[in-house]
Amino acid sequence: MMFYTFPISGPLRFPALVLEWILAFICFEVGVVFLVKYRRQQVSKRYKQELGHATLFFGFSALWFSFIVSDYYLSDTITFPFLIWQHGAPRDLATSVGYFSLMIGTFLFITFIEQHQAVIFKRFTFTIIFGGLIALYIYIFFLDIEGTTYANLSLVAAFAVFFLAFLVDLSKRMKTRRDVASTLSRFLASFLLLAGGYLLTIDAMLDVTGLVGRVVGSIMQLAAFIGITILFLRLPSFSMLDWHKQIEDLYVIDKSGVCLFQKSFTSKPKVVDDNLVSSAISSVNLILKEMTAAEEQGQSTIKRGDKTITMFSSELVNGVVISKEENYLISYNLKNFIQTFEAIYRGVIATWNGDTKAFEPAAAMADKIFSS
Amino acid sequence: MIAQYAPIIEIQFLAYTIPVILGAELGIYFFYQYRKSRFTKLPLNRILLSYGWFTLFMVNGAFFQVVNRLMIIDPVVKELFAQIGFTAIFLAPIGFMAFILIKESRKLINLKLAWVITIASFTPLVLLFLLGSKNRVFMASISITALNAISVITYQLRMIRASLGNIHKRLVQLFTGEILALLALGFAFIVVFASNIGAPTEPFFFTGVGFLITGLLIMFYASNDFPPFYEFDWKNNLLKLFIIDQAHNQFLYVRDFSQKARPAHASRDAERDDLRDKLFTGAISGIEAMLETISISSKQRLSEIDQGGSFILLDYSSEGLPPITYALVVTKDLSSLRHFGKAIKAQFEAFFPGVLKNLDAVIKAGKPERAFQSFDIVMNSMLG
Repeated sequence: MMFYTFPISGPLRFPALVLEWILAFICFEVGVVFLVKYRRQQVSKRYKQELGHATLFFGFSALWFSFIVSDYYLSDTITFPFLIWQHGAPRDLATSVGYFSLMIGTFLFITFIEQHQAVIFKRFTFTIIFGGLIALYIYIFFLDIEGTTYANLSLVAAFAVFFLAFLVDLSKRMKTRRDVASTLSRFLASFLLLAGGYLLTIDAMLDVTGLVGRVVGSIMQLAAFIGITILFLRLPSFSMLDWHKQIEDLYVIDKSGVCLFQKSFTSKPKVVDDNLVSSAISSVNLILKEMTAAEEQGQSTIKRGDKTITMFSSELVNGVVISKEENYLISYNLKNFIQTFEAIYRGVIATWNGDTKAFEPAAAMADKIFSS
Repeated sequence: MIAQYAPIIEIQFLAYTIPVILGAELGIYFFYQYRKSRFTKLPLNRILLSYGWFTLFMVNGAFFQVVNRLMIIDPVVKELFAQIGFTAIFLAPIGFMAFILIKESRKLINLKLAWVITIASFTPLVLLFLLGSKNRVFMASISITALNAISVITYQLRMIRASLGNIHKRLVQLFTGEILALLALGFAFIVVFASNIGAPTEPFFFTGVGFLITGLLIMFYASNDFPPFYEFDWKNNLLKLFIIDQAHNQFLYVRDFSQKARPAHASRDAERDDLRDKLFTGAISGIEAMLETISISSKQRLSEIDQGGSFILLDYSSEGLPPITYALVVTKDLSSLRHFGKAIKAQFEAFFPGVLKNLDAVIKAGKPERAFQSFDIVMNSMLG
C-alpha cells in the first residue's frame, strides 16, 4: 500500500524533475554515440555489439522519459474500469510503457551480443529465455496492469546474469590481467551505484525517504551512467577484440626465405606450398625495404583488398600473419610471438639442418597467443 | 525553498536543458580532442579550443537569458542574470578568435584587422556593466560583436576552402551546425520582442530550441573522432609520387616533393636514391604478382603498404584506360593525403585523356616522361 501520491509535488519537485530529465537525455545521447560508433566502423563486416549497446541505452532513456511523464504529470488514482482493464491508473500505463521499452532495448542488446558470441551456454540461449520472459510479462500485463512486478524482477535477474557473464567474457579478451581486473571492478562499482540509485527511486522507498531519497537516487544513477559510458567508450571496439577470428595464417620465415614454422587458423584447404608462400613474402619484404630504405628490423603492413599481411622482421627470423583486417593487436601479438620464438630457438636456428620438426613445439605457443 | 512552476514554464526549461547539456559536452569534448592531439604539435589544432570555447559560452550565455525570462522576477537579480548571460555570449566570439589569431592563420585572415575587431568587441562588455543591459548605447554597441561574429564565419569559410577530404567534410558539418545554432539566436530576439508586446512566445521559443539542438547535434556528429588538423601541413608529409605504366614498366611521371639539395659528396646516396626509385616501375606489379601466386586476395589490388617510417598509398587507372599505378609515398597515413592521391589520379586522367589512349605509341616513341612533364603545372597548382 503506497502512501505517497502522484503526480509528485512540493519544493523538491523541480530539481528532481530536472535531474531525471538530464538522466533520460544522457542515456539517449549515449545511445546515439554508440549508433554513430556502429555506423563508423572501418571493417568489412560490421560488429553489431555496438548497436546492442545503443539499444540498451535507448531502452533506459525511454524508461526514464516515461517515468517523468508518469510520476510528474499523471495521476495514480485507480479507476474502475480503466481502459481494457478491470482497474488501473494512467500512471501505471505510462510506467508499463517505459518498462516495455527497456525490455525491447535489452532484448535487442542480448540478441546482438549473442549473434557474435556464445555467453555461458549455446548461442541465443539468453535471447530465447529473455524473449520468453517478455512474452510472460505481456500476458500478465494484459491480465492485470498492476500485477507485473514479479515478471519484471525475473527479467532483471535474467539480464543481470547475462550481463555479468558478458563482462567476464569481454574482460578475458583484454590484453593483460590488469586490464581484466580493472575493467571488471569499475563496471561492477558502476552497476552497484546504478542499482543502489534505482532502489532509492522505486515507489516503496518514496514512503520511507520521501523526495529527498529520489533526488539522491537520481544523482547516484546519473553518476553511474556517466561512469558506465566512459567505461564502454574506453573499451576497444569489438572488431579489435575479435582479432583472433581475423587471423588466417601464421608464418615464421628465416632470413633466406625458408619457412621454419607455419600454422593455419582456418579450415580452408591449402593450395600453395608453405615454402612458396614464405619465399614470396620474403621477396616482397626485401623489395619493400629497398624501395623505402626502411630499417632492417621492424613492422610493416600490406593491404590488398580484403586481406592484410602483417610482417615483423626481427634479428634472426621474420614473422608474417595473413589476416582479414588490419588490427594493432595482431601486430602487437606477432611481435611478442616472434621475440619469444627467437629467444627459445636462437641456438636451433643458428645450427638448423633443415628439419622443421624442431620448431613444431611452437604450435602450442602459437595456439595460446593467436587462438580464440 | 524552490518554487513550483507552471507546466509550460517547466517544459520550456527542460527543453532548453538539452542544448545546455549538448553544448557543455561538446565544449569539453573539443578541449579533450585538443589535448589528445597535442602531440602532433600542429598550431592550427587550436581551432578545437576555439570551437570548445564558442559552444560553451554561447549556449550557457543563452541559458542565463532563458532562466531570466522564465523564472526570475526580482529586478536586481534579473539585471544580474542578464549581465552574466550577455557577458558569456559576447565572450564566445572573442575567445574563438583569440585562440586562432596566430601567425599560421595569416593565410586565412588579416591578422591585424582581426585583432582590432576582437579587442573592440570588449566595448559592449564594458558598456553592459557601466550602463546596464537595457541602455540603447549598449544595444547599439552589440554591432561590434556582430562584426566579430562575421570574422569568425569568414575564417571558417576560408578554412573549409583550404581543406581536403575528411577534414573538409567535418569542417563543413561543423559550420552548418554552427549556423543553425546561430539561427536560434534570431528566434531568441523574436521571443524577447514577442514577450515585450504581449504576444505568445512559446512557438518561437520551441522553434529556436529545435534549431539549436539540430545544430549542436550536427556539430556533435562532426566532432566525433575529429582527426588532427594537418591542413596546410599535410604537404610536409609528401615524399614522392610515381605514376607508372604497368604494361611497359615505365615511369610516366615522377615528382620528388622533398626537393632536397644534394651536396656533391652525397652523389653515391643520390645514385642509390635513383636506383631505389627505378625499383618502383616493376616492384608494385612484381609484389602483386607474387601475392596473387600465393592466393592472397586475387580479385583485389594492393591499396596500402606501411613500411615503418613511410607509407605507399596506391591507386590504379580508371576502367577503359591502360593499366597505370599511382604510388604516393608519404610519411603519415592522413585522410587529406589519400584525398590528394585520388585528386592526382583524377587530374592526370582528365589532363591526358588522348595521350593515355595512345600510350603504346607514346612509349614506342621513347622518353614518355617528356610527354607528361607538363603535369608539373597541374601539380604546382594543386599544391598551391
